[in-house]
Amino acid sequence: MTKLNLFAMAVAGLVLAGCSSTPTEEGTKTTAAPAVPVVGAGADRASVAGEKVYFDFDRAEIKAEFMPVIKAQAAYLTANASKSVALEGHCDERGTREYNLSLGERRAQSVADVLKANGVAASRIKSVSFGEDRPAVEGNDESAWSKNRRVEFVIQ
Amino acid sequence: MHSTRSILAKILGACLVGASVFMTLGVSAEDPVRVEITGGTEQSYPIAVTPFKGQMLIANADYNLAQIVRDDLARSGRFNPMRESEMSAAKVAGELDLDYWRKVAQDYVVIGEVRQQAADMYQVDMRLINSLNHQELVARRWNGVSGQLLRTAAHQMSDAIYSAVTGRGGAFDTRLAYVKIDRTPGKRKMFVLEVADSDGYAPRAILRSYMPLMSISWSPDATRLAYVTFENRRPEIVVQSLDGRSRQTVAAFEGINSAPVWSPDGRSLLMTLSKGGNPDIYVMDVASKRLTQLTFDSAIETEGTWAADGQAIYFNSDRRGQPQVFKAELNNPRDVKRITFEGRYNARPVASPDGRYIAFVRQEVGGFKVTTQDLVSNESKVISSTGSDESPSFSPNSDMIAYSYNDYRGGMIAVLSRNGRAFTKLNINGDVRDPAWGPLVSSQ
Repeated sequence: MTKLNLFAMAVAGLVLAGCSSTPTEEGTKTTAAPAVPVVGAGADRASVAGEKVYFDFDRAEIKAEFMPVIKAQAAYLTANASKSVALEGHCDERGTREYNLSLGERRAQSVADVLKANGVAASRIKSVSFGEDRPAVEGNDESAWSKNRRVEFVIQ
Repeated sequence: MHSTRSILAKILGACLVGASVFMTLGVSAEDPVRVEITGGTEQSYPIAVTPFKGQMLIANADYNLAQIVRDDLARSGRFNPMRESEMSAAKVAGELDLDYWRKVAQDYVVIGEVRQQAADMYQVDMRLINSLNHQELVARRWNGVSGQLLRTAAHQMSDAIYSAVTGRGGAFDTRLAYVKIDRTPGKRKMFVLEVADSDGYAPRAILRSYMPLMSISWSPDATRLAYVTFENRRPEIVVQSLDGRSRQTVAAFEGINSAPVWSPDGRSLLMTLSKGGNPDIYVMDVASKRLTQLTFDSAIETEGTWAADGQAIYFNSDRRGQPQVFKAELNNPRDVKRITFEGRYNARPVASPDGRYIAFVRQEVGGFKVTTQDLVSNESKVISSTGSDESPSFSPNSDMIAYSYNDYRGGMIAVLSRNGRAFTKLNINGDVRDPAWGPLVSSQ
């Protein structure tokens, strides 16, 4: 079928339809709005107290000043064989959200490596990242950022 | 092609009744939406969208059809709509005088009329005329439009005008999904997944969570959203239908499950998983859940996005020490090409649907900024003047980019013309971020 024929048919259709053209039905779907699901109520726990490990921007290396913090956690875990630890990695708000999620995991893994080197079994360590979405301190300057680039120890 | 269009326009135009008689309207308020134009408007089309006859029949001031169309066209950066306050009241009220509009340098004129058909039901006519050659480019009628759909009809008018003048598809009758942080005093902070019109109006909640949500991706048929949720205290990927009927966790492996992006054919989801020990990009066949690994480096690989043809991916890797954008072909993913070279931090790429550009976030002295790169010339250009930009997302016609940034009031969503010359902060209440521009859904 040629383009012209298609065009003629389209025009005929429009004329028959009385030149009407209605908005899409997309908008009408909103009228019967289903209940909006609510999730995550039990997972929202405040930042844990206790010592944390802090990092430089876009870095995951452990700075020497924080080695004693990690070694103390390793000593605690060695003395308490029934306990395990979740390492929660975080970033400051700068940079992209998804990259920061990976960076937070890398920070948690850096801490895990030191725990393992100090005798804690890998099976007792879990690493998790929240990226930039769970800041310890709200704020848009280095004083807030430096406290948000961190790993927290959650003893379970 | 042009003559075909004008024949069609004439036939449709004949169906319009009384469209040449206009009267002054009581509606005078210019919308508070601000479009900031930098670098001049010389390359944009001057257009006079005159107040619609019968606009006063519509009580709700949010439904000023001419103003909705002006705001749409201005947001694109391709048009320079005349302000209503600058229009001659006599010429707006009188018969259409194309020579007048030509003399005041308005190459295009839009006239329209609203009629009430029933309680909360309207018929709207809209015509677009070239004042230089008097050619009628668009003549369309919207019938049986409820008040709730008047803005949708206006966006469809904008799309018709955009398409007739620029020759490119419009993208105004589309939606944005984004995350809103609800900080109601006295209540726990909540993260709300919302969907609104492309200009930020008519928001509705899709999901509320006490834990963070991020990385929204639309299915190409616009029926489902994929996103990352921390509701189980770790990042997992969920696919939820917009009608709220289904919600399914598709990736909850050990470690990170994040950055879902639907393929152009809707069959696969690109995602970042760290189940292998470090973050790598995988593609999941949605029907079978089968995974294929696409990146293999020990560095961070994340923020994958599809090339327009669906045959390659762009992604962020810090294998050179800092985040940079790379490209891998699906049929030979180990052959990786670096795409960004300027700047030390280039992240979160997204490809324009027309295949010509990628947009990403670059760290500059003034902060993190939306940047585009022409994939033909490889020239990159910072296009935002805000500073903590995230989540650039192309409109389906590739001509605009929605993104979020922070200022002292919290998170904002803005639309930039692709060349960066037009900037519009969208009118969305609250602390909002991470917009994802939905596909064209149909209509027209």
